[in-house]
Amino acid sequence: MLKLRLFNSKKLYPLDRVNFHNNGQNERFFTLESSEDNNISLSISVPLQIKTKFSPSKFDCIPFNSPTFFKEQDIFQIFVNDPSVGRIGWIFPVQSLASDKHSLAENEHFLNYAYIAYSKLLHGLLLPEEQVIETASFEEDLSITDIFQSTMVIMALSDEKTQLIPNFNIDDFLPALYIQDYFYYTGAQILANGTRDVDDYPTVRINITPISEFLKGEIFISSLFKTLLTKNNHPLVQFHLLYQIVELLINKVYDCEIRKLLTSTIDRAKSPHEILEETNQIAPEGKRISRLIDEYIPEKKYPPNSLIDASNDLLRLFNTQKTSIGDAFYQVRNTIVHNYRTVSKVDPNSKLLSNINIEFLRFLVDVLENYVEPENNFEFYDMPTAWLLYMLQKEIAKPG
Amino acid sequence: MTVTSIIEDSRIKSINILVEFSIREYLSIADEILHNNPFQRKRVKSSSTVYSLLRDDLKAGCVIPPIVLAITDANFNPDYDVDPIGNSEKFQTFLNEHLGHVIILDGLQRTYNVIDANSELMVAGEADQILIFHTRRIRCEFYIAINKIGVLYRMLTLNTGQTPMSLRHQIEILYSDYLDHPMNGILLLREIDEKAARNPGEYSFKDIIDGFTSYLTRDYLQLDRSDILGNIKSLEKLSKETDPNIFKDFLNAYHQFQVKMQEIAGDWEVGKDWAEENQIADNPYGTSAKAIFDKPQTVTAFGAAIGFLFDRGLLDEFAQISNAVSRITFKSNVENAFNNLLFKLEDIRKNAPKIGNAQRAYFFYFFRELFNPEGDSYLVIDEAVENAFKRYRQNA
Repeated sequence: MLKLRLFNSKKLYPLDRVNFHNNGQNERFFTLESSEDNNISLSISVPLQIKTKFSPSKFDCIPFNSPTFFKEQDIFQIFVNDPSVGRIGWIFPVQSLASDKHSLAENEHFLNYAYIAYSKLLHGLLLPEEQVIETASFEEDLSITDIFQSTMVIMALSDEKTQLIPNFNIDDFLPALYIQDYFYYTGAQILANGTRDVDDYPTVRINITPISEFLKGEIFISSLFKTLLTKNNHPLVQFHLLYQIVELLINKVYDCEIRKLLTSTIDRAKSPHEILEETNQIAPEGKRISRLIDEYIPEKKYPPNSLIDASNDLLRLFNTQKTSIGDAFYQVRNTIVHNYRTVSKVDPNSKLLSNINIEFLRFLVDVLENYVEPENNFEFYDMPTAWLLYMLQKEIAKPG
Repeated sequence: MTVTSIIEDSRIKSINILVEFSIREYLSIADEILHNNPFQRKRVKSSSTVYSLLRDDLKAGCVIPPIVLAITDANFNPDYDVDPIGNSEKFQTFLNEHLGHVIILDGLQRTYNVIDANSELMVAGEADQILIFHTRRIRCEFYIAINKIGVLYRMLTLNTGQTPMSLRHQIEILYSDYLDHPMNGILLLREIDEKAARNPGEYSFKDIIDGFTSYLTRDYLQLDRSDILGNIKSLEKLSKETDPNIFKDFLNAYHQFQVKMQEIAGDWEVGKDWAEENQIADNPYGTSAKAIFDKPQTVTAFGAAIGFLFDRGLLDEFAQISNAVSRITFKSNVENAFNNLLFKLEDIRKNAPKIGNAQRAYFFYFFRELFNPEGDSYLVIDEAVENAFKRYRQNA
């Protein structure tokens, strides 16, 4: 619920009565009133001919920020990768609600969603923090942009549509939204820059894909795309944060590979010695990265050369060149970890590293969306394998 | 009613008359003012406790500071040979004749509280109490002037209240007598349906007020809610305006321009095929010359640009605009020029964070280009369209 405070006063009045009034073509407004004082009546003008056809309770609104798509005309329909679901909602900045100058001003479908957004905003349902409106008097005419940051972006989704998507959770779509320059809202200020190419700007719709089934529920992925990346914009920090995705995935790959090996012990296809050797082979980070790319991402949409080229632009300064994507970003990681004092000299404005980050992010989102683990029926509760696992751990723990 | 003092305000060339009314007399005037001027009806509920105390005090016989009123477009010649009181009858007659032109400059909320106190007494008061209330005295000051701009200036300088009116609102109040009264083929209408066909010379009162405000402030943007300096900046500009006919001149210059645009555009309208080919949205800025130049964004830009050219000494008076308008021409042809204009406006729509403000900015440069006698685009539409876009881009 929104609250009102008069200038130079400390008292807060809850604005718990929100009503929409439509008195003909030129008079549409919401009123915000308070059960604590009948004299309070704020009027929020609505320039659009919004439609009250749908109940806001059947929709969900999520706040975003965008360094790129904050303009009045940046109103897009949202589709998921499943064509049978169709449009699940719209995404637009708050200032599109306060203007009838954009080309969607007469689009009936958008006007339905505009009403939903107004309603959610004015009921205080969009932002977690307390929203206080400061005015000189109890009765004022305001615009929605006097109350909310005009460049804040609202994603309005139809429950009816999202229910068609199994276990729908917006967190699973945050990486796809992030690379399209929509950052989950964490406050008015955004530090991260947009990375979308101008040639690739949407015109009518944006398509979003969830992360892989195998990665849903990974808390780090949500927090990375919700807060960590947007709150920290130094290229070095960004690279390290992104590299944590690689760490997370190669750990999963390692677990899968060991499971695979252990499964092969059940039918005694491999001797313990061979298993140990193979485990050692997959243990180095570089090897696990190659395995991740070669075997766990069956459908690669990301064109690898862009990241290889961006990496080589930096590596060239260290007389190194790489030809595979995994080798390229792993070498960048090693250079940064072990030799950042030189990197900061040869790339003083972090321009090369920023370019790498852009491509690295695109690559990783592709990986997150297309990551597939091989089918594996191995159960750790199998007695023989549990013994073998114990032996293996002992072997690995030996010094040298 | 008694006139108690008459003083001249040399700054705005007005006379100020202090009058004592009985509350009954003031109620009848107040009723007329609020009835005549829809723009004065806005009341504020800033603190119920304070106003309810004031109403109780009024009933109990308190004295409130004088309410300041104005009568514009009128001239009162007091008889200085007698005491001010000797002018009472003459002023009463003058007031009755001009009652339709009286506006409240300062004291709207006090007036509402006098009315409310009266209503409360009428419902719950004793006859004696009502009679005593009605016969109590209240002081009013009247500014009487020919020049509305002078009064506007005085309104702004007096306005130190808790809930200041915006400059735009004060202009609206002051010029509301132009509403619905035809003059020289121009009619200002209160309610305008943007899509309905309008007769030539019919304009939205609200849009013209916006344009005139932009002329006075030299700013094509509407003042921000939080821009408390807005009124002060406007004061400096206003203090230099001395011509009493300025509103009419502004309106007439804009009207001449509109007439010329429609004359040279003929029956030009946006072609559907052209719009599709160039990916122009379903609802372009305007589909005809009239629609394009009728938009409030265009009118405000016109006002601000003319003000700019005056300030730079490139133009001296509105008559120059009216004269120049007849010589406006095209380098190519109507279709090319207007299609190009819409193409530019579509670009602005796609790329501007706030479309309305950006459109105002673009048209501000457009009119600056079109009416600048020393510029490359003087009176040539195509050139103004193109060069305005360059300037807009440079400054966006």
